[in-house]
Amino acid sequence: MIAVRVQSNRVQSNKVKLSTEMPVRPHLLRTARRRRRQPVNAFALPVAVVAALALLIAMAALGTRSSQGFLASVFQGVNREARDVAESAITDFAVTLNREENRWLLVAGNDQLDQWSTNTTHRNLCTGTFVNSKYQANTAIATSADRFRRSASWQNLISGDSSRQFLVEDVTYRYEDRTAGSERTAYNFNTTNANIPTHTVRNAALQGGTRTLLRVTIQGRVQRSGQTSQARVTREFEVVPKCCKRSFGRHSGLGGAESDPAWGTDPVLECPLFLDDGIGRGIIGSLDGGGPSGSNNTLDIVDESGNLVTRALCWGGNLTGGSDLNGTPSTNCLNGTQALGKASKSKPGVTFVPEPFDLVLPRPHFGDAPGAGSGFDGGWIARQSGVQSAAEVASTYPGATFGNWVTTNAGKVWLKTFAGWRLFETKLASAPSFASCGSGTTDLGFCRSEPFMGSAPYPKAESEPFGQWPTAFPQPTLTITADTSIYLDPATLTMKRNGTTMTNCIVTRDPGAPYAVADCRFRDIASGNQTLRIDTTYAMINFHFDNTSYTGQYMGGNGNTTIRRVHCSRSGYVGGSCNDVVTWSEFQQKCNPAAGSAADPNCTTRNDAYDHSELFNVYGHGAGSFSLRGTASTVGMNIYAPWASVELKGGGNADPNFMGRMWSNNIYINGNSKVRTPVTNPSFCSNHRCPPPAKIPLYDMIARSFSHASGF
Amino acid sequence: MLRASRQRREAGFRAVRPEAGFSLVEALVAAVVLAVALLGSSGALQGVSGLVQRSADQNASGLAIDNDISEIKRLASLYTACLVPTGSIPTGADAGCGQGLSPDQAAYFFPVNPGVAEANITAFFAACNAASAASHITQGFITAINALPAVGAGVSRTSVAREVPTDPKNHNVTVRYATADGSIQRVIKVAPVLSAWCN
Repeated sequence: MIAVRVQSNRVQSNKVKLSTEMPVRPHLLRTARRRRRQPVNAFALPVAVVAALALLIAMAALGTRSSQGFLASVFQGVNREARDVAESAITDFAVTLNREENRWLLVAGNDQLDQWSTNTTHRNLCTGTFVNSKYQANTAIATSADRFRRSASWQNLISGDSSRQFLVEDVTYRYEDRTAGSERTAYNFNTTNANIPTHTVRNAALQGGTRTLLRVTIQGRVQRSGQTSQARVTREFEVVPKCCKRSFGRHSGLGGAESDPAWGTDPVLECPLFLDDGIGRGIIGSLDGGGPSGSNNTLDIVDESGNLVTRALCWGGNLTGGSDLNGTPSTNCLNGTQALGKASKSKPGVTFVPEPFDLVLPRPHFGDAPGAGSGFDGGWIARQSGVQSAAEVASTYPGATFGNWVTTNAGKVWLKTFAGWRLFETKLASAPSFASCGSGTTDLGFCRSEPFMGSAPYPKAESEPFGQWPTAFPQPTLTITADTSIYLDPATLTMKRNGTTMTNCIVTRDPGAPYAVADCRFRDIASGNQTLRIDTTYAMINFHFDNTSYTGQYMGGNGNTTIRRVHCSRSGYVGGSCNDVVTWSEFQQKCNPAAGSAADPNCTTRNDAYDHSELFNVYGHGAGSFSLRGTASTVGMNIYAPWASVELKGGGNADPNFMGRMWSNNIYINGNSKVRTPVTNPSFCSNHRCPPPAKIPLYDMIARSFSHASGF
Repeated sequence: MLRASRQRREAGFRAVRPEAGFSLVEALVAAVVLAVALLGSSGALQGVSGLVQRSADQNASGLAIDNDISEIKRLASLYTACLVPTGSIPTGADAGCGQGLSPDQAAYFFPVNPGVAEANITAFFAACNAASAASHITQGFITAINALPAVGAGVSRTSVAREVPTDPKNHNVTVRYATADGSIQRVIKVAPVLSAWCN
């Protein structure tokens, strides 16, 4: 076009020349026209060349454009593939983490991303098995999720195909903080759940009570013919809890802690898998319809397996009519809203799980406690004609337990020991002692001490059930005005208090057992600001507060009192001088020579009843209270008091503040308390009625995504 | 004088005439040049046309695959165990599981048949973990994908299969697309949303 325009200018120029230099005549005009046409013919070639060039240029441009378009469509296709790879990898991510063995990784927390395959905490307990009716968690390391850990490494989407790869750019754990206007907040392993302050986000999820979120960003990459295309896709899944082996339903261990924990329509009422031992047995509350309470402090509650205790049991009612418990279950217990403590980063507090069960506690070993039924627990239970054999006695008195004894008209006495019924030839007014009661002893008088034996009215203990002499056997208020040690004097097999024989105790020793059993009866112990030491070096000591009409303080005293359990070596033992406070480590010693370093050296054969954790027990039969200050020194005892209140004041320098079991009605824990509690049931549960396995339901979770935002 | 002058002028004009002959040659050359240019352009045009066609084919196949993937993902969301515990895509009167449910609701995916729910739930969980590929919960989904119309645009689904058929916990379904010459165009992994409701 430009060339043509130039040519036209030239024509105009010639026209001007003709008009100025030559006169206008017709023939000349014709000639001039002829001349004027000649230059046009002369420019045909350049025009053609220009046109050809233009054509070629246009073709080249068109070709280039078409090529670019083609390449663009190819590249676009490759990029689509890259996007496909990223989306497929996200599908794979969800499918892989939803595999049962990986499901607890869905709530691991942001600080655990590097520990997916190494930290056994993240193994799903739902993959465990039941062996001999006992649940055994599977702690095998799951590795299938490794390739979805956040990393800088490219992974093949399809095995063996390196042309399609993905890279996990980011994985973020979040939850919805409704206290902050439903803000989605990142969380770590120990982050406290703002909506459920007694729990970490993770624990609340593992108890079926909260939903979390998992966001994943993945890059997809496709390499083809030297070209590489990448695409990035982000998806967010909701991680929803469910019972092990079931789908989403209405079953949350947190009860009403969340507004409506119905995650789906699976109608199952109870989770089919549950932890059946340990958690919950050390602390049992609401046994008479009461409940827990306390300050919003940190609770550091650990069992003897080192597991953090986040669940306890509360009484959900009797199963039969054969239970000591006679109250009405707490509504809060039944609703699952009872809890203790305030969640912190690593100490999430305790929630109480309702569980129906019967409870029958041991009676005093000197006989039935008043109003506690007609069981055989304790001392004398019958007089029979004839001696009978051990098998016959066992058949006649099937409910007898350790400490029961039966007199015969032949003067012989049967004593129920841990190994069975043992026949003694006599029961004389001998001088009992720990050493005199051995395997060859034939006189029960060496193995049992009763206050003022042989003098009225105490001989009733030898011939009458305890219920027949409640006013005769002392039920004192023990008031101490100086630091006091209560211990078994091995020389006399009697209980003493700073050298003074206690008249409210009966001691029985099984000749084959490493410890005697001392049962002492109190109304209450007023310890003021003094230190009370309970020495278990030679005896299992049981305190019975069995005045059911007394509602005051059973034990506690004033602000500076401490109640210490002490235990010393028998070598060189001096009664009343022992001051070795039992530690948590010693508390776990077993009466089992096979226990190695944890074995009690006093035990030559196994007898679980004499494990160190069993050597000091307190039974409360009324609605009194225990106020235990564990700040200066550890309080170590098992409290079985279904109608009573137990208040523990923790904090301070003692570590722990309390160790033992708390089975009571009201439980108050104040201060930043360290509590160590056994994972096992007490030994008396083998022949009494105790809470069943705690049945802590097991949950796992699934990452799911509805269709409108489906990541599948 | 006048004649001479005319003769001179005519002679002068005649002297210019050879330029008109040259013009013809020039025209011929120009024609040749143009012809060559046109021929070349024609070839180029054919090439361009081929490229355009290939681009169109590429786009068409890409769109066809995209449409198919979109349809597969729709199936992935619709696939449910609400009526058939081993998985189905309810249609007609059964759409919404007969209860007006939609895939936006958690209740859509789980067995809902009153009276036989627990049996259906058991069957559903069994399908989720079935070792046999034919009994696996994804089998109905695969069947539904295969029942979709052909992809078209010269592309076909060459394979719709479980990623690891021997692993019941792997619910990934791999779909491959290829052209007539067998070259793989696209590969995706997809799992039915229903999988998340497994136990």
